[in-house]
Amino acid sequence: MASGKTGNYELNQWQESDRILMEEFNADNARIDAALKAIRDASPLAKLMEITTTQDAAQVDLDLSGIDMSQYAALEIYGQTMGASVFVRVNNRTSFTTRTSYSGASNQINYILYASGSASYTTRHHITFSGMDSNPLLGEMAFANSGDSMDGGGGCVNLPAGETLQSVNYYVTSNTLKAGAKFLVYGVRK
Amino acid sequence: MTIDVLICRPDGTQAVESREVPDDWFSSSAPAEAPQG
Repeated sequence: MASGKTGNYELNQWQESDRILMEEFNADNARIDAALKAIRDASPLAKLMEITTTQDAAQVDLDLSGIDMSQYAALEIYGQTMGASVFVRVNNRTSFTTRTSYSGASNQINYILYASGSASYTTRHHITFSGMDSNPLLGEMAFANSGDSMDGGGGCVNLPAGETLQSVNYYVTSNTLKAGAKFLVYGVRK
Repeated sequence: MTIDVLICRPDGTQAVESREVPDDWFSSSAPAEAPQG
């Protein structure tokens, strides 16, 4: 039997003369398991994806189809691309109704976000998707460009009732999306 | 037309997939107030 305990979680500590008991190991593992769960539950964010692309592509899809969206109140996506202006779609849909203010006019466009870019600077963007477990899904967006100028924008887009977020799609119109693009996806826990 | 799409998954894997899309798939135009770089 262990003759000592650690100070914080009372994990067993043995001396050479102590008898080793399986029950003590199991109790320690249960405490560690509970402590790790508490840490995870206390963190509002879960990192769901971290990607740096390894090759040029006309389109890059972030495949989110395996993620249980019901666990999250929102999804935060941070992206960094190079080489060209980038457009963003979701679920490979090509028609979206967007609105940039509460009483603003709705526009029908074939992407949800445009972020200016060029070969000379890096483009950064941030997208927030909220209402993950409701119909329809609501997306909000903001972006900023590095380089000589900074820009921002916002708006919202609705997906049809019953459709959940399956993928986020990045593409460029006249170039390739250069290898080295970075994407971070966080889930905001409920 | 056929395009190559780089599929990125939560486990960190990446794979190129050929996909048939309409010819106007990339026909998006930038907003009028497109920022200057």
